[in-house]
Amino acid sequence: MSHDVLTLAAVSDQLAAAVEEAARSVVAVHARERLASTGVHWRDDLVVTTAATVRRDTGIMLTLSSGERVDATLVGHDPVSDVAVLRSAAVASLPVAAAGDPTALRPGHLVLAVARLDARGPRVAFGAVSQVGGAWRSWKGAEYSQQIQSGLTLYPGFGGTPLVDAHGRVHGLNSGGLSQAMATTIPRPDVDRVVTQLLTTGYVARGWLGAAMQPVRFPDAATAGANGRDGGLLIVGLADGGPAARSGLLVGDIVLGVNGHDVHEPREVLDLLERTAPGSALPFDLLRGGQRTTQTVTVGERPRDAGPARRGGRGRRG
Amino acid sequence: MSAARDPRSPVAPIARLLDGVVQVHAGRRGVHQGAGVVWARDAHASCLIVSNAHVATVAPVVVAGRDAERRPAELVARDPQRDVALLLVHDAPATWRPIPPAPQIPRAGTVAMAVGHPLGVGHAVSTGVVHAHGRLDGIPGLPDPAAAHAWLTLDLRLAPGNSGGPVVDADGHLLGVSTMIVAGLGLAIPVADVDAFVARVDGPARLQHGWTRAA
Repeated sequence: MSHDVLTLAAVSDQLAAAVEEAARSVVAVHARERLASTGVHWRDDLVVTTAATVRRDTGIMLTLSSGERVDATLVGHDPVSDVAVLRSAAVASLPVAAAGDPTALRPGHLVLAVARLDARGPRVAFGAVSQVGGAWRSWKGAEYSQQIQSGLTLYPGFGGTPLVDAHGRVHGLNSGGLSQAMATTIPRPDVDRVVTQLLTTGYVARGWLGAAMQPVRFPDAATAGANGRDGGLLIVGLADGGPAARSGLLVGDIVLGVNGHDVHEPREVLDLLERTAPGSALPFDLLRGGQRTTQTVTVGERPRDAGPARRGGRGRRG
Repeated sequence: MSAARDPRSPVAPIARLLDGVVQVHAGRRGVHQGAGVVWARDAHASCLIVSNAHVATVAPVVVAGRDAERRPAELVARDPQRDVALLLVHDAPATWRPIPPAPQIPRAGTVAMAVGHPLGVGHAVSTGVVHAHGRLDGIPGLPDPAAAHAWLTLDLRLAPGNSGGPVVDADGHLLGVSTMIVAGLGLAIPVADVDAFVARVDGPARLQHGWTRAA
């Protein structure tokens, strides 16, 4: 450790320099009514932001650090992981944000969120990394390689801001939707993964069954056949020609377990599908006509119902 | 040598800074309260103090430094539009030292400190960074006259009682005067606008010979 006194003025200069460095690759994203959000020039002609702040799929504009406003097109968005990718030839000439390694972040590291909302300069929030954890899943079912939470305030328009360290390096994207008391960051490798998927297919494929289920409790007499289980998921409807119907599931079947895991709530099945690639075969543990049986189901691909303009509900924050 | 006296200590600028901050009470019952910045001082121990117009509302005004002794202040001028006011105190203690202005507009990300009396806690320091500088568009909840002015916007926690107090940089140079909180952001009147107001109301003429701004 250096014995030089680290003056507050030196810290201040370094933070301002980090902002200046990162801000060159930070753009304003105009993809919703009223307030803009923030995007980061990620590579080539691509800008990433949070999916929740992209509320339309045409007429998207960016404001660059020069103040210039340019058109952008939506490459794809993944509401589950909260990542959207935009393309604009005009950003190709901007610098790409210096890449940080989020696995090197530790609680106490000073971090910044750098926003751009208009032709004026960058806007900044400042704090320290509060918590760094292992892989986790959001309430929407997205998988992230690492949990990064910081004590910085995500002001309106700060959705899609880069998490910047004191050297100006970008460690990920700050998501208003994922953030609660603490600002939560989508780690850089996860952004890369979603960007690659969106470039390949325009969306992130997720597993689908095409079965409507509701929890049921067994009357005592049936419990014997269910080996002590007191309930399961009753299949109350099947999509015509959907994966569940094609694999031989029937309305009236009671699902006790999927892939070796007991299930009690439809949500547990949805969570499992979220992590299952289309085409995978999963064993379903069923109660059919009072008898235990196993049926293998080939998971299909969830139909994509909507572009961002038709998506229901409003973004929570950011 | 104590940390506060050691000029290399990170807290040295803060220790100097606290001597440039007063509490302000206005009205017969002192109902309007906030902070003030020692702006200039002359050789006869008279001090010009700036604060917010919404703090220094009406005479009589009394101010108190860190010794908490209340001293009468003359309400020289107010600009409710820009929300700035100028006070004059005679026979100020020798410890009251003006906070020198920052030479330039700070870059976003620069460390900023506010001193005031948030929620009644005297001479408390809050730390954050400069969020942005300029006019504010599209921030919900911004009062009308405020939208017409440039602001120093701060990612820094202000509270009632900070109003009228200084926001300084890491060198202890004055960046602005804490004024309000909008959408969680701290808003300060940029020091250049305070300077223009003091000049417009002929503040320096109130001081005798040899007045000074720098500490």
